[in-house]
Amino acid sequence: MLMAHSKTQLPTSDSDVLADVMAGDVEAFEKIVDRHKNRLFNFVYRFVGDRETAEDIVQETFLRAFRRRKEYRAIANFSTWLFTIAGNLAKSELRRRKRWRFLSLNWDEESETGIEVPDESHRPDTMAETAMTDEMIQEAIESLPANYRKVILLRDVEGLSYQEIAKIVSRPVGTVKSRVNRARLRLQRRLKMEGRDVGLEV
Amino acid sequence: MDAHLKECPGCVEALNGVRRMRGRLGRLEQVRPSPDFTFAVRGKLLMEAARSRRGLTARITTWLFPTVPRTMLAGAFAVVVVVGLALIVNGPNRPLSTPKSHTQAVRESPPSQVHEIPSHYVLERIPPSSRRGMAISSRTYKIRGDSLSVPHSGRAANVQYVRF
Repeated sequence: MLMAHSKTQLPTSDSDVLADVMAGDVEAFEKIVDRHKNRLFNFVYRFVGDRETAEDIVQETFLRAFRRRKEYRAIANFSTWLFTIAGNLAKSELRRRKRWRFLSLNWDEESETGIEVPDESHRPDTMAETAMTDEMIQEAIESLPANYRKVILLRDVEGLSYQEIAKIVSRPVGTVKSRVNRARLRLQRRLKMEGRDVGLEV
Repeated sequence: MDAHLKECPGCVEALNGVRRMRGRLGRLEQVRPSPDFTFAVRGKLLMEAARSRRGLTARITTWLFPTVPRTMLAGAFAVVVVVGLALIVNGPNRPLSTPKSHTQAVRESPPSQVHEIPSHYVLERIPPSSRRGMAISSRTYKIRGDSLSVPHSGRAANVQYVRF
């Protein structure tokens, strides 16, 4: 459904403009940007959970794709290639955050100005609400390991095929399927632990 | 699997839960970038395109001469330009550093009885011992047939013949 929607919005395909893109035509590349920015942004935002960072990552994705346009091989869709770049950048961002958090926590311990992190898991207002909002699901997604997060977003949020995802993450289709299933189970378990029922929605 | 599901309500519940989760994820709101996103990307792309155009010459130079300083390269380039211009002015068949033999010079002279021949070809033909006191006043000498008369200073009346 999502694919059909994209097609009606954008009548020309990537291959129509790729020759111009390869020659370094910025205007042609802007058509690619217009075509893919929303899906890429949605994917990256769901991955990193922050609008500003997501915009930076998607901008960098387009910039890298333009810079390395001659490395693109037509064995995969251009969109698959873009998702690969965006996914790698998003994963690096998560890694960077993890390092930074580790360092900053160490610093806070030493300087005795530790940050008080509120425990929101037992807040009465959230406990009372059993239906799931987008934010709750987003939080649950962000609790997943990066490998699981990437595949479940590509499959269940962006609606990519298992074959496309396999190319993006450079893993066999079987591995991707199993990761997607595990990610779904983890999400479900996590939400249940917090007292959410997937069946009850806002 | 179907047979197992018929007998196992726990697995049915888990499967339904996964299906519901999948459906719910598909209905998450589509988050869009800010309105100035395209403008920002365009700016970066244009800068990148300009940088790659500017950088092409520099990249080629660096690749060809990775350790040579830029000033030296500029000097070498200037020399190449000057030599190239000189070659164009003098004509492609007249390299500056390799004078032709006198016979060749004579052969290529205009087919008339009186030719002009450059003085260095004349000097090549005269033994060094005979050149003493010789005044080479002009860049060319007239040649008649296959011999030429060279004015010999010091002895005004004397004329030395040079045969080609």
